[in-house]
Amino acid sequence: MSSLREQILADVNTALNTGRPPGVPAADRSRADDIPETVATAISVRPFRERVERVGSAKGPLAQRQLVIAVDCWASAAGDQPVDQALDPLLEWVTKALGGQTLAGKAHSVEEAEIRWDMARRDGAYVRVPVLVAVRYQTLRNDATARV
Amino acid sequence: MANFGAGDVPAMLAELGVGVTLGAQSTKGIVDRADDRLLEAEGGMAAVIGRDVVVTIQAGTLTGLTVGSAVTVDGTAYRVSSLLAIEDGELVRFACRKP
Repeated sequence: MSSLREQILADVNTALNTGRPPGVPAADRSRADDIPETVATAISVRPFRERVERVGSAKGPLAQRQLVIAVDCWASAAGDQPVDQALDPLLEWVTKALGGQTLAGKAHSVEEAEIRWDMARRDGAYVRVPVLVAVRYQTLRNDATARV
Repeated sequence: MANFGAGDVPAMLAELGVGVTLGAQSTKGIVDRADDRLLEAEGGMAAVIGRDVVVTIQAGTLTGLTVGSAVTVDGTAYRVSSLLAIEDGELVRFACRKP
């Protein structure tokens, strides 16, 4: 069985791909390939960092975890449209698909934690926005597959 | 006093340049096109590919050329997104974006 972390990442990817509105691209997992100029928008899900705290004493059996997932959203735009506007439907969808989720009980909470805009200009305008999503969950301290 | 090499510029542009027009004016310019990886995700994973299109012309050959001007470079329409004087002001280099 895969770790609860991996299950959460898969569930977040699935949530982003379920009932997508028109114009929102499919999310992929930890995209390694570049996004060609012909692709107007893209979404990719990847682990960003995780903080772990032992629950109770040093010998306590539980680990409380906060997994921060980066949902990277990219867009390009030509002409005079501000490029960040091209991302608005994607950001709206990330909020709608993930906000308040518990991922079928795997997570205690799923909340957006931070959104940052990075832009660049070449013959078009380009923007990447990592949406950092904080997922709180709990496992046994010595078994990352055990949901408790 | 003319800038060093200034006399060679018209011949160089005539030899290597393509047609550049601004309204009714036209000149020759050298075009550099290069793709670039932009906005790479943290950790060195995916990036988006953008294309740099930069044109070099002789200064003063397109009167009124400025940021935002609509130009045609080798038959393709662009807008000027950045404009810099280079080589002691003998040449002008401008970046293009899709209109």
